[in-house]
Formats: sequence, structure tokens, C-alpha cells
Amino acid sequence: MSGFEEVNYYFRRAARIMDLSARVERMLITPYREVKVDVSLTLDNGDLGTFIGYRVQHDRSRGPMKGGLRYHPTVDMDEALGLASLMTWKTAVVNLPFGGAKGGIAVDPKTCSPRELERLTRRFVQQIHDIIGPHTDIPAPDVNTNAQVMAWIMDEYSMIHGFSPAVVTGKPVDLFGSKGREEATGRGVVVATAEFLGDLGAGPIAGKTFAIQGFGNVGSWTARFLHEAGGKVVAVSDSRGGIRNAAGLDIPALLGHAAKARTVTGFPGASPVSNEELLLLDVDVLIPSALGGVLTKDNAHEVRARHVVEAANAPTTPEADEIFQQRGIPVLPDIYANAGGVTVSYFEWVQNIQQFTWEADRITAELQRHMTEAYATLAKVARERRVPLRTAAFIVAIGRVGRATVLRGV
Amino acid sequence: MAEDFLEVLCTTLCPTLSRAQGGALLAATEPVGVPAGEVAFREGEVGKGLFFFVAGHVEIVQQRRDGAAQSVGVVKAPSLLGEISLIMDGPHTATARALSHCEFRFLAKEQFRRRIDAGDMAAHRLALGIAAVIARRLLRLNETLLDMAAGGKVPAPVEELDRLKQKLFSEWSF
Repeated sequence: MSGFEEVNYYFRRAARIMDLSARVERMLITPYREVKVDVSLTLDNGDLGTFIGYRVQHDRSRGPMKGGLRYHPTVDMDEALGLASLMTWKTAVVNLPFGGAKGGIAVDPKTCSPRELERLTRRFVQQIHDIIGPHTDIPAPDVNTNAQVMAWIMDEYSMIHGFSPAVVTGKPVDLFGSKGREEATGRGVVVATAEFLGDLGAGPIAGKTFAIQGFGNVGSWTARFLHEAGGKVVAVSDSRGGIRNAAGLDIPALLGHAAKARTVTGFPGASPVSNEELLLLDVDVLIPSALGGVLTKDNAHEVRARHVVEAANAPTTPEADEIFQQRGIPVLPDIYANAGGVTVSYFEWVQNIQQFTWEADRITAELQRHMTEAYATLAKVARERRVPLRTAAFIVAIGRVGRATVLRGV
Repeated sequence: MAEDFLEVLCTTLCPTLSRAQGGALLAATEPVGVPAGEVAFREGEVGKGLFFFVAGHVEIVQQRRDGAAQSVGVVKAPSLLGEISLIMDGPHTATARALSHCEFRFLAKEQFRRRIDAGDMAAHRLALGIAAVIARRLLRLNETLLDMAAGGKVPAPVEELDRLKQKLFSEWSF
């Protein structure tokens, strides 16, 4: 199942409950615009580098479209389409005034020098500058792109259209970026987890055990905030493997270790565990926070966690989702659980538009409010309609996007 | 051709029939060929049985009150024609004129009724299938009458959007 098909599988499940007609479904699924551009440039060694850039703008009914730009060899139109539609539903679930978009360049950035990456980014902006903008489509960092890439995008776009910091989010704090952006997704995951556990009557984070697959930006910040809230993180992993300690890992020390060793493996006082084994540990909450498609029909029956929180995008396949439903394992869906990142991106955009800077405590308080209010709506719909939280999230999102669409007129 | 028709008969035209029952019924029929331009049956004639329409296509014509002939559509094989005459005694309600050479298998009303009286399951299943065809027509007719009662309007996309709007702002508003 491709990314787009997977998103649409969940979309259709909700749309059927809402009794939407096939034509309305098609109208809501069909992207607004798909763009594929040539991004050729002269490489440092004088050779011609030929790359393809993509930008899919899925829906603009609720506001400017918003979504990341990734640099990865597997980037293609289908992947961008799936992720763009996911952004439409994600921004709607947390009630941000944005639509959804996604894109990137099919390139392995590890093979590029910093100068080549800068030229590649600037060339891409030259190709798509007329379809992005502070009130049209606002890119953000994604796989293999970072604050520096966003700074180049802002600069190149501003050279063409005049000073426009709001054209992109995830910029460096010294260049109109927002405080709290780096840790936003992890902080949002922990707020979401607290709401989720509280709503299900499982109690607070304090004292609960957690296994986190992935220790990149999202996984590491999630671990830190869980630890600060009194949670016991008993296992974490990255692409090189994982570590576990039933008594709980010393997260501050682990963060120091990972920063030096660039991996969690080899952390003193912990035993090794594979990525596959980590998913099957007996914990209160399993948090996949790296790759998509890691919980499948092949391992879902063996998962022993009491709850699953999807910090990664699409870590659970539709088949595994059905199995978790049958087994009574509640899943907090990605389109809500990891929406903290795009929520603070929204705050960055607001600050850029206002030309006014918010302090970190305001960012944290606003993020908490957005995530808490969004959960209350999801939980209400899930309870009233007797549907899982994922279906409830899509119902809420489809309702908001649908209302904006019909109010604007078709 | 006969095998193909048997397949369509038992899966699409009359799915209540098993393959064996469909074969038994077709074995009890008579082949009828109608050259292009000729009439298979005429409006007002007493219906004598059911036509299993195996090959070709016919135009269905009805006479208007002013006497002029009105074409009401073209039927292409495989299909069934004259099925009402199998159930009811009465004249055909339309004329079927061959637009190309047509092949039928004709099941006489007497033959059908003898089989019913004898408790032949194939005949009963055929009657059930014909009842389903007639029921579907009745449903379509009801829908048409509703549309006519609403001033002849058919649901337009704009109404579909209105229904969506109503739904999103009431049932699915949170």
C-alpha cells in the first residue's frame, strides 16, 4: 500500500461513517496542485548534477498550505502526495489555519558538499518561488533538511519577492525562527500522551514505563520530557540498535552519551536490544518515533505494550491497526500525536507575520493549549461515535476541511 | 455462444439459477432467428412466452396515443425479453424490431407453466429471477415518480453540496 493509499484508507474509513458521497470523497482527496521541476546544477567537480524536485499542494481551503521539504533519494510524487494529504488532516485535527503540502528533492544529501546543497536549495526555490509564499505555501524542515536549509530558502525567496521571513518555518532562532521549535514535536508527543493516558483512566505519566523506537529529534526530546514528567523510559533505539534497562534509563546521561557517540548503543548500565525486540517489550506505552510501517500484521499480535503512541508518521500499517483494535490496544494516531511540530511552526509563522517574538514559556503554554483542546475534541467524537481515536481524528479533520470547502464555495 | 449465454444467464440475468438449472431451461427452449429489420414480437399481440435474447440487438418501439411509433430504446443481447408475458396473460406492451440478425431461445408459456405445476425448481428459480427484474423496474419507476413530483428535477451536484453542508454543520459539527 503506498503512502497515499494508506492515508486514503483511513480517510475512507471515516468518510464512510460520515456517509460522504463518492464525489465528495474524490473532491477532498484530490490534490490542489502537483509540481515536478528540474533542479540541475553544476557540481563542485564540474560535472552536471541532475535532480528532480517535487511539491504537492493538497488542500488550501483552511489557509496557506504547510508541509516539509525532504532531501532523500526515494522522494517521488506518490510519497509527496501521501504526506501532503496527511498534512491537510493533521493541521485540521489541531485546528491550525493551514492546509497541507509536502515535497522535496530526490537526492542523497550525504553525497553533496555544503556548497552543493546550498546551490541545490536555491535552484529549487527559483523553480517553485511562484507557487510558495507566506500566504500560499510555507515549507518546513523534514528528512535531511534543517534550519540552515530553511535559511537559504528564506534568503532566496526574499531576493525575488522582498523580505519574507514567513515563507518558511523551522528557521534558525537567529534568523526569525521560533524558540521551542526544535523540541516542539517531542513536547507535543508528551502532552498528547498525558491527555491520552488520563482520558483512558490509566493515570499520569509518572511511574509508567515507556519504550521509544528512534532517538533522533523526536525520540530524544520525547524521552527527555517523559523523564522530566516522572516516566520511566526503559528502552530506546536508533538505526544502529537499542538499549534497555528495566529500572529505567538515565535519560540526561543518555542524551550526553548519544551526543558524543552519535548512537545510543554502548550506553553504560544498559543491555542491548534490537529494534524488532524493542517493539515487543512489556511496557505501558510503546512510542515508535522514527520509521513508518514498523508495526505490521507480522508483529502486531506479539506487541505487549498496553498503549501505542505514534510519534512517527504512519508507523502502524492498516492491518496492524485492525489487530490492535481487536486486541483492545488503544493507539494514539500520528496525525494528532506528532502535530506539536507543525503547531509551533504555526507559532513561528504568526511571529513572523506579526514581527513580534514570543518567549519560550508562551510557546510552551500555547502548544499545551492546542494539543489539549484538540485531544478533548477527538476523545468526544471517539466516545460519542464509538470509533477508535484515529477514525475520530479523521472525522474531525474531514469535518473542518469539508466545512471550509463548502463555505468558500465549489 | 450458447455456453456464453448460459454463463450470463446464471450470473447476471437470473442469478437465482444454478448452471445446471439454466442449462435445463435452455434445453427446453426453441431456437428462433429474426433477420435484421423484422419484428420479433409486436405490441398488442398476446405474449406467448419468454425470449432468451442470445445475439444481436433490437429496437423497442411503443405506439403513442396519437398512433405514431416512439422508439423507447435499444436492447442488446444477452438479455431477456417478453418476461411479463410469462407471468401474466396479456398483450406485449411494446414491439421488438431486430436492428441486426438476432438469435433467441424461446420458452413457451405453456411449457413454463407445466414445469411450475410439476414443481420444477429451475422454473421456480426463473420466476424468482423475473420477479427481481420486475421489482427493480418498479423501484426505478418509483424514483422517477418522486422526481416528477418534485417538479421533474433530478438531484444536481449543487444539491449534493447542500446536503454535505447540512451534514457537516449539524451531524458532524464539533
